[in-house]
Amino acid sequence: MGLDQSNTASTLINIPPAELLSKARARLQRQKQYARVLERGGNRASGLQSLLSQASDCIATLAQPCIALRPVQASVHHSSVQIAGLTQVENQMLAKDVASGGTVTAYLVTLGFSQNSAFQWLNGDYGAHHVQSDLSNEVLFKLGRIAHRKQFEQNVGARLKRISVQVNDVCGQGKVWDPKKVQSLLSVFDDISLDVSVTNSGCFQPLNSLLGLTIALPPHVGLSSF
Amino acid sequence: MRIHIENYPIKKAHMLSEDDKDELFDAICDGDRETVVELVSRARDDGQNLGELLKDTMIPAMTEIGNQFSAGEVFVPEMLVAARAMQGGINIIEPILAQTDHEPVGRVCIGSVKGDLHDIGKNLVVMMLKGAGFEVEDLGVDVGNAAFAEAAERGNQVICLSALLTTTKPQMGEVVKYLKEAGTTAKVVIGGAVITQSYADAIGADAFGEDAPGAVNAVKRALGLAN
Repeated sequence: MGLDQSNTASTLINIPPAELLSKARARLQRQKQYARVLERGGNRASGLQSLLSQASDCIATLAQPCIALRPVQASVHHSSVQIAGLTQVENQMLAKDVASGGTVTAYLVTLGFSQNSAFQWLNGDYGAHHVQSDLSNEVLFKLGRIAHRKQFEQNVGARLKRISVQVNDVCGQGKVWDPKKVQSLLSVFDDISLDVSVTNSGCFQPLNSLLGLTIALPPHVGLSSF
Repeated sequence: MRIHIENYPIKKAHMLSEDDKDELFDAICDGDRETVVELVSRARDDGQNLGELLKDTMIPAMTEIGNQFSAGEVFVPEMLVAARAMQGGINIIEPILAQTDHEPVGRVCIGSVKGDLHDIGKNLVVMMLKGAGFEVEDLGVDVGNAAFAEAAERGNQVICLSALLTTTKPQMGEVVKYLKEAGTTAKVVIGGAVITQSYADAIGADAFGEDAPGAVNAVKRALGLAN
């Protein structure tokens, strides 16, 4: 059973930071650069553990992680798809999936705090702030996984595909969305006050935010990839 | 109540020996903040020349960590804990040097250009510049052209520009152009994930730093302190 497409309200799910932090910290500590220091022990390991604890306390205090889900109308026009009557997305595979009966949900996940507020909370400690940035990335990843799982629960039997909205890219221009289109897609969440925006140059505010589309395909529809 | 000072044992501080200085060097590299604070405090209590200690022992320790990072021998976390240990010593030294005619290696301001909200690379550069003895003014993120020019007017000799995104990279060229039109004489050093030497040449920047220790070297080159 899919999400009710006639339901025009966004669903807001708040997740306590503590639920995300322990797994996020474990993931970060498994990253090669962190794992190597921690495994060797000594002063470097204890110094790094101290930075990790500061970062974790900071996120636990400031973060207001939440997931917003909003079913949106999608209509196909040749190889592009009109999303919620607001944004035209050029994507042949998306067009094919929508034409095959796929339903589209916009998702927005955010940690709900700015990097500037974190830096202030950490009293301008650059080291702790750096670790906080790394840890926040992992917390956001974990939050994104929960968002995906929620959509599975709401679309039993369907196959889900995600199209994350990339508004900037450090390695090239591929798959980058026009920030104006991103802003208009964000507006589908105007019925809830999440205070997430995107700058003209394509940075989310707050930085630790993700926006995207999930396509729920009926089980009989063949696989296609983006 | 009268206090008889002779009744209180006074711990005589000892001059830091060469071995102690080696220990200080190693403690910074190893991220042993406690030992750094202890040794620097002892040097302070004994009236040792802290400027010399900073220049001859502590800064070279951070340079060593930077070199190890550039060689791929250590990663960012090692740099972070080393910088934190170093900062423990600098916190003791700075207020004392501020009362003397001690001059920093140079004065530098740094910021992520307009439209770029990322600070992770910039912050690493700040840590390494401080560890190299520079006075650093952190302008933050999303910094407009005029703010860079004003920072130069405040006496900063080098303006460091950071950009992480392909979309904000062109803004660096705009800053360089603005600074030239404003008649700013400060040197401009650029860096960030999407920046290359050829881009630095194209926009007329004075130097390019490929990573955080590389940015320190670029600043030194821009000031004629290194080749």
